[in-house]
Formats: sequence, structure tokens, C-alpha cells
Amino acid sequence: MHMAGHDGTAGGGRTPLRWKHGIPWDRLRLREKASMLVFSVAMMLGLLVTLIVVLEHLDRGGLITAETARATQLSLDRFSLAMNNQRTAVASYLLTHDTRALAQYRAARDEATRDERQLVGLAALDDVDLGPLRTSADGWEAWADGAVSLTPAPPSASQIELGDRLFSTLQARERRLDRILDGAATQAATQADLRSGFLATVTPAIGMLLLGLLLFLGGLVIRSMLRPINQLAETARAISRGETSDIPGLGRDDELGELAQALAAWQEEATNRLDVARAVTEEKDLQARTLELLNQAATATSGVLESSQLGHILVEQVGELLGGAEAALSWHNRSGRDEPWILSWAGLGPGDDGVLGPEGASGVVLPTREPLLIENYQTWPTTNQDGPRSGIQSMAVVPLSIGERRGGTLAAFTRGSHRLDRHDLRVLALLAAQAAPALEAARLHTELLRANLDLTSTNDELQRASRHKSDFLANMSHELRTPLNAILGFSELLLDADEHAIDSTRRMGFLHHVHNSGKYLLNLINDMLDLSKVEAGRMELREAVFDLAESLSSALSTMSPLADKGQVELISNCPAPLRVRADEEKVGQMLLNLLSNAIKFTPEGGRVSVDVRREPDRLVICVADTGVGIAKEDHERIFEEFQQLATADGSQRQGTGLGLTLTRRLAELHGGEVWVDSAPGEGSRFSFGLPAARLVDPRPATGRPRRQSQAAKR
Amino acid sequence: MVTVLVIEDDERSMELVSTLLEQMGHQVLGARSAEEATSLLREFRPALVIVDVRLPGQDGLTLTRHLKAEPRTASIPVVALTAHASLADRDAALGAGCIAWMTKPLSTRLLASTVFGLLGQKSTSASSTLG
Repeated sequence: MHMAGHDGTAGGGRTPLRWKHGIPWDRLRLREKASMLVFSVAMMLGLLVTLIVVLEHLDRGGLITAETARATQLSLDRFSLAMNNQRTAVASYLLTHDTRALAQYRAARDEATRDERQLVGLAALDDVDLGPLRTSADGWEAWADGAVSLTPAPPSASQIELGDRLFSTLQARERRLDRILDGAATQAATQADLRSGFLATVTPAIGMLLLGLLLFLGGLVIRSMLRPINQLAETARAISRGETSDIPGLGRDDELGELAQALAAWQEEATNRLDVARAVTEEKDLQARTLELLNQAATATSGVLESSQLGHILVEQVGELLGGAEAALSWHNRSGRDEPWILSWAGLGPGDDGVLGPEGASGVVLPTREPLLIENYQTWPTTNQDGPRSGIQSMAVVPLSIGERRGGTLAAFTRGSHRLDRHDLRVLALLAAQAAPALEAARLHTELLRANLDLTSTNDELQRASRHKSDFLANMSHELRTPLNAILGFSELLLDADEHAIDSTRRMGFLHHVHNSGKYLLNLINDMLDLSKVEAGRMELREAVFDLAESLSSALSTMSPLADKGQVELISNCPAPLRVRADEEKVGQMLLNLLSNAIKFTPEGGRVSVDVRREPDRLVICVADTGVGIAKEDHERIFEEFQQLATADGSQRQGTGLGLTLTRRLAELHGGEVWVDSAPGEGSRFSFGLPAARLVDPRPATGRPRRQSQAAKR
Repeated sequence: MVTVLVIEDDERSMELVSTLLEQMGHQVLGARSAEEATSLLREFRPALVIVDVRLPGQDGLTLTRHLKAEPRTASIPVVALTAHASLADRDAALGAGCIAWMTKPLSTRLLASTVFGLLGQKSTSASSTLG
């Protein structure tokens, strides 16, 4: 039904005009072609039949003519016989005069007349002239009638001769006619034979010719139909295979054209569907690939707890995810904004300073935490207008945030013709969403490590402090017990002994031991209290301006008995006056400590010299001795509490073991320091430095020292 | 007369211990360091060694261990005398081979009774030994 409809429409649209340009074979509808074919076949068959019939008819006519000639010949023969019978009967009568012969003559005459009539009828058919023959026959018959009528008178010889002559003429004419008829019959027969042969030859040839023509036409028609059909079938197969090809016959007006148009519509539909399917597949492939890469990224970053390494991996992953895009990562490794950024990047060159900094695109994304896609970076209005754009084409920046924390940004950018699009931005955001917790974990891990480290060091410090305290207490106990040993031991000895068991000299010696030990104990306790005050930060300097040269001279005179006792020379070199603002008592204490140590560790005949000199930023008081010296490894230890070295002569230790410690602490309280420069066998130089600010100008400026003292306080 | 070796770097302690021992009738050999004591021990064989634990150079307990390791001196009783008064110090001293351990400040009566217990002699005339 559907095709019929198409048929009608197509037929209606055809215009007679087209026929002017010959037969538009391709424009004919198949139905018309088929009709034409059938019509042609009918025509050909009709033509063939007509031809055969005509030829047959022609052949038949030829045969009739030959038969007529033969029949005329037979009729002539009979006439000739009848004429001979008449002559025989006439001759017999003339000789015998018998009436029977006359009767025979009469009978033969009738027969001849009949035969003549028949002959005339036939000869008319053959279109043969019987005139001469009939004239001769009539002439002889007239002679015979005359001869008979003269009977019984015998015919004269001339009469007989006339009769014979007449008969001979007749016979001659009979023979001639016979020859004509014979020839005509033969000719007719020959012509009939020729025609038959012609027909037998030509008819099949024409038939074959027509058949061939028919086959040719049929083939042409079928071919003209089959070829496009095959082509269309092939096209349909191609379409079903998903290939796109040109559809043949689209311009045709016939059913094949309609089929081609239907195919074209199908192909378009199929192509569209294929495109959609392909797009869907590509999208899915891309998604799968993206997922895979994201998964890889997750795998690659899992367990990585070092921020910069993590950043490096992420930047690499961006390149893989976004088709070789370059990437840069910024990340605050501490919660505070003032902490430095951890940056990782790939491909970021010297000209790209503005890209990642707070002035660049990252600076836009960081506060808003909105992903940013800059499809054309060259025209993007950055706040950093002066920054070189360095050929960056497009850029995608996404925030890295954990909850409310703005951790940083992840930026991807391209330089070539490749531009990042919204899909890339989405992928980047996914990666960022995945990366942020990892980075946060790394950050927390780092903080944890730092806190751990702090804890460990605090713990170490506490342990050290605790150990120091225990050591200090143990040493303290030792140092207290030693003088107490003398005090208690000698007093017990004196109490227990008989009055005379110990002489007065020894008794006095024991009492001195007790007394000195008590004094030592007091010094120890004072030093210890001073030291603990310093350690607790409760030691206050009573600052005043005084002459350091005088203090030094006073200390030297205090120490001179001890030096004299040890036969040690004391030398001093100090510019005077030397006005300083400091705690005079503490400075004196430090000088005494250094001097007594120097004298103690200097063997007899040695020398202790004090040298005061100014350096650009400080005043240095150096106490040098010619003692045994101190090994390098002991230089710091001697400043610790209760760390005493053997004295020069290995004799009784003096001092509390806190002197150097306290001296150093007091110097530090003044903003100065104490240090030693010594080597075994080379003597020792203990130096005590005071900041230059403590020096008071010989022409004292009002107010200035006060400020200095303020600065010097802790 | 029995010889007692006293090793003590603190002069007053040395004098105190020496006086006590001499009052008990013993002869006192004094050494200020473990090294000095070691050289003295090459010549003398004291009946008793009283050693301060904290000495300059080699400490008293190390010296004790050396004495205990040496067959010639292993049988000499060693008494530790120290201002380090913790239980750990006592254990260390006894572990090193000391037979007794006394802390400073020293009780003269405890020292006397300990030395008597170890040597079984008491001087009748202290003054004669204080020459």
C-alpha cells in the first residue's frame, strides 16, 4: 500500500517535457520499464507470428501455380489424345466409309470439345495463350468436316495432304504449349522450393534475432534494475556495519530513488545514533580513564605524609589527567597565613611569578574557594598587571580546602593551543577534593612530628634538668658533708679525748679545722643561695657608677696574702679611672673568684696578671696565669657546678666549686660573659667581658646611664 | 703494730682519720690519690685500707676492684669512706668489694669500732703513737 502511494505521487509529478530529450531511461519507473518489457515481448511475438504467417502464405501461392501448370499440361495431353482419336477415326472412315468410324469420329470430337473447354479454364489460370492452338484445332476440324461431307467420293491427294499439314501444325502447337506449361510448372516448382528454403533459413534467423533482441532488452531492463538494487543492498550492509558511504541513485526519480532516499534517511539516523553512541562511549571512556587516574592518584598519594613529595606527585598527576597540562600547587603547611607556602610545580618558569602567588589566579581562588577557569589567560585581568604572562594560554584553578580551612590551590595551565575546558576544571576539582585530605593529613602529620619533636626535646630538657638537679643535690650533699665531716669529726675527737691525750698545739689545729670548715660551709651556703637566686631570676643588681680600677686594686690587695703564700707574682694593668655602671659588689666577687682560682692553680714562682682592655663593643678583664692549663674538653665543664680540677700542688681544695658558675651567671646578669682560653702547660686566661654600654663617659651625661641600666636589666 | 692505708684527698679528713687510727695504736700510711696508693702497695702490705670514694684521677671504688682482683691484695679488707651518702652509693661500694661503708660526716666512734672489729686491736697508749 505504501509503495502504491509513492507510485501515484511519483507518477503525478512527471512532466511530458522530459520526453523531449530522448528516453530518460533512468527516470522511468520500474513498473513502466516492466510494462515496456512486457509490451516489447508481446510486440516481438506478434511480429514473429505475422512474419511466419506471411511467409507461409507466400510459399503456398507458389505451390498452387505449379500444380495449375501440371493440371493444364494433363488437360492438354487429354485434348491432344482426343484430337488424335478424331484423326484416326476420320482416316478410318475415309478409307472404309464405315459408319462406325464416323460415330467414333463424332465421339472423339465431343471429347475434344470437352477437353478444350477444360483446357481453356485451366489455361486462363496459368495465363497461357491458347489462341494459336484453338485456331489450328478449329482449322483441322473444319477440314475433317469437309472431308467427311464429301463421302463416298474419295478425297483427293491434295486434300489429304492439306489435312496432314493442318494436323502437323496442331501437333506442333500442342508440343509448343506443352513445353511452355512444362517450363512454367518447373519454374513454379523451383520458385516454391526457393521460397521454402528461404523460409526455412530466414524464419529461425529472424526468430533468433528477435529473441536476442528480447533478451538484450530484458537484460538491459533487469540490469538497470538489479545494479542499483545490488548497490543499495551493499550500501545498506555498509550502513549496518556503521560505515558512512555515498548512497547511489539518490537523484533517481523511480522506486530505487525512493529506496535510496529511505536508505539515506536511515543512514543519517544511524549515523546520528552512532555519533551519539560514540560520544557516550567516549564520555564513558574518558570518565573511566579519569576515574582510573584519580584512583591512581589516590594510590600514589596514600601513605605519602611528606608535603613536598605529595605536592610533586599531585602535580605529576595533573599532567596525566589533563593531557599534559602543567600544574602548580600552593599549600599552607601551617594554619597561620603568615607561614610560607609549600609550592610544587611542573613547568613553571621564571616568568610565571604572578601565576601562583597571592597576586595571581590562586589569590583569587583562595579567598572565594570557587573553582576558576580562565580560558584565555592572555586577556584575563589579573591584579598583577605587570607580571609577564609567559605564553600561558588557559588556566584552571581549584581550591584545596578542608572544612573551613583554606589550605591552598591547585592550578593547571597550558601554553600551547590546547585549552582547558569545564571538563578539565571538573576533573581538577575532583583531584583537588581527593588531594586536600591527603595534604591535610601530611600537614597534620608534619605538625604531629613537630609536636612530637618538641615534646621529645622538652622531655629531654626535663630529663636533663631533672638529672642536673639530682646531680646537683648529690654534689650538694657531698660538698656539705665534707666540711661537716671535719667539724663533727674533730669536735668529737676533742670531746672524746682525755684532756692530756692531745697537746694544746694539736688541739688548736683541730679547732682551726673546725672553724675553717664552718667558714667554708658558710661560703658554700652563700654561693649556693646566690646561684639559686640567679637561676630563679631573683638576683637583682644594685647598679651604681664606680671605678673598676679601684675595685680591681682592692681585689688584688685581698688576694695578695694568698699569692704571697703560694709565691705567685701578681701583676695588674688597668687604665684608671675606669668608670662603669654595674653592681660593684658582684663585680668584686667575680674578680676575687677569678683571681683566687688563678692563684690556686699557679705553682710556686708563677705569675698571675690582670689586664683590662677596651674592645669596640665591650670591656674585657682578663686574668692570666702560668698554671698547668686546662684541656680543651674541660673548658665548658669547669663552668658547671662542683666541677673542680686538681689544684696545682694537689693540695686541699679551696673554694666551693661554685665560683666559676656563679661568676659566669653574674657576668651574664650584666649582659656580659665569661670565657676561658687555655691549653695544658700553657696557663689559663679567664676573661670577663662587660658590654661597652656599661662604660661611663668621663664627662657623665645626665640620664644616659639610667637608660643603660634599664637596658641591661633582664 | 698494724699498718692501715688511708687514701683521702681532703686534708682535714685525712688528718682526722689518721689521728683516730693512731690513737687506736695503728700505723697510718696516707695517700692522696689512688695512683699514690697503688705505688705504696707495691712496698707495703697494710692490714686494712680505708678509701675515699671520690678521688682525683682514679676513684676509690675502681682502686678497690683492682685490689680485689690482685691475689696479693685481695684479702686486705677495704673500708669505703665517702660523702656520697645514697643507698646506691652504698651498693656500689659493697659491690666493688668493700667490707664496710661509712659516710661523711664521720662518726669517730663508728670508725673506731669498725676498725676494731676488723683488726681486733686497741691501742693502750695513744700518745705513744703520735710522734
